[in-house]
Amino acid sequence: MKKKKEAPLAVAGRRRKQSFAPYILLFPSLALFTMFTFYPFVKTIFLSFSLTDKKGGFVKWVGIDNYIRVITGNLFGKTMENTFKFALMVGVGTLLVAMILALLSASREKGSRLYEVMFALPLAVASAPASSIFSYLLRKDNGMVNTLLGTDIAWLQDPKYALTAIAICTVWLSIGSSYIFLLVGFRNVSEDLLESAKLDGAGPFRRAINILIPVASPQIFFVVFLNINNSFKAFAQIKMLTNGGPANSTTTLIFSMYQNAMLKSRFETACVQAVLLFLVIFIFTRIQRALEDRMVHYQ
Amino acid sequence: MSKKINSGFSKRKAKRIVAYLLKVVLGLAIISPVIVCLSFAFKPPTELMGTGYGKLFPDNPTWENFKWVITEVPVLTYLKNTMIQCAMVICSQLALCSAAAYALTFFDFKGKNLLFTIILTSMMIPGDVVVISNYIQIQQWHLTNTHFGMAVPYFVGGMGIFLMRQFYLTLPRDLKDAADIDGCGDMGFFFRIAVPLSVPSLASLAIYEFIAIYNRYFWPLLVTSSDSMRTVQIGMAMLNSGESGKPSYVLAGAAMCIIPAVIVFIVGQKYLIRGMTAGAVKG
Repeated sequence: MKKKKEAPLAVAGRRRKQSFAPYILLFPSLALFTMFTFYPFVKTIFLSFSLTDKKGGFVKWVGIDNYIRVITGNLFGKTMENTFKFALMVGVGTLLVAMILALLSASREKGSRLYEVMFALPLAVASAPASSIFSYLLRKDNGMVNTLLGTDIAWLQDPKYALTAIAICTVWLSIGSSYIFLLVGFRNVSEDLLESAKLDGAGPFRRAINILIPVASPQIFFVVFLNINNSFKAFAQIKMLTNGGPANSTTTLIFSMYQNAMLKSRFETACVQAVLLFLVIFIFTRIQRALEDRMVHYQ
Repeated sequence: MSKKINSGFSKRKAKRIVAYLLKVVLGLAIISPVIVCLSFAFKPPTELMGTGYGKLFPDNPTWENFKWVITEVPVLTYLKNTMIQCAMVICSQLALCSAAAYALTFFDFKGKNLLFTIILTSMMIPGDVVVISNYIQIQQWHLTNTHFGMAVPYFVGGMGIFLMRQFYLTLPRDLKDAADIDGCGDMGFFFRIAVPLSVPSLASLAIYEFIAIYNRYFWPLLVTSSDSMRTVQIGMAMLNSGESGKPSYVLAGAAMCIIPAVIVFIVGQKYLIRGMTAGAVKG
């Protein structure tokens, strides 16, 4: 009885939602975003146009001098080349491996969880211990990779192979999450569709090319760009496997940024590279959006 | 006739079993770096260096490598530091992301769209772009080598807010109206209804963050310089570059580093996958 009487009050209560509650609830998050994302972002841009002291403090305004110095520097071309080559290798390599694994496990079966867990497991392994393992596997003498391939390559000491070696390690690290995203895409395909294709005589290969891959195109697309973007941020494996060498053959944008900030205390140079890193990621995200709108097939 | 069908069936069954076994073998190949790491960590150092390196399993398994790592390197301190990071960041993320998502889902207020756009925009700025600037800031505040300084930039995340918001959107608005009618205030609804119902989403966020924090490398490397503050990842990575970097010790260190994350992954896989895929792909 009492409750019914209060019903009109509830309508008033709904209007009461113009309270401070949502602002109070959102305040801590917004304050933290401001302090640790937006403010440092603006500060990075600001410092990239400044001269800084050894602790990263502002000294004076220098305009675009830093940018000119970085872009005309003799390592800049090499660094960007490494960055994009690495992105290509990681993007293509991870997609191929994860795609094969996901296609193989596209349909559920009894006990499929066993190999699903194994295919996804690399995502739980951090880049630091993975680098320790791969530096062992990729040794020239008695290295397992060389033994398996029958080669005699100094993977981590030869400038021709070092970047590929790091890409191999990174592809392995990225397989797990890419596999899961692709599997979600393939499992979204309706069983009826696959069943009717089967009845029409389409073999597993045809079904993959004509049904699974087109229907899962949003996930495939997402995975390609996820890996490209993650490759721009790959750090631990470069630091631990080659430390940027030999002969700068594995120095990427983010690694060079780290070197400038932490080893040389050249914070303004590091900030220029951080801005460039942002632009690279931003442009790739734009390309992703533009292509997605045009090419991806949504059900 | 029936015989033919029968043999056809068993052929299909045999084919299926062979395919299954092949997939398991492929799975073993995928995780072979982990298997090599775990198995070789038990090999005596001499076995690793000589001709025995090619054998997958140790002839004389030994705890020697692990013993060496535990006595020479403060592994337990590293683990404790990592766990403190996980506790701080996970607690904070669960509380702040839930609160923010709740505000964005169940309230209509001035500037709501703007604030949501701001949160989405923050997700456009990758953490690695601002890492140098954050380091300068934390250093100026004299917060390097502190648990708080290491954790604070990760106290909230756009992904967490997004994940929680997606869950709250599935709760019917009627539920909130009914609670209003029953005189359950905004905060009462949050704590008594929204939070308890969202436990699976909270678990997804917690496990996702656990793996992310446990495996983080770049940021802890910048803000820690003393051995007593290093996390597992940094500490164990130092074995690799140290002068004592015997492969067997390095692999034992890597094994100790990998095992906790792998256990959490296998136990919490379902939740982790939900956290990863929520909102990542539209369509």
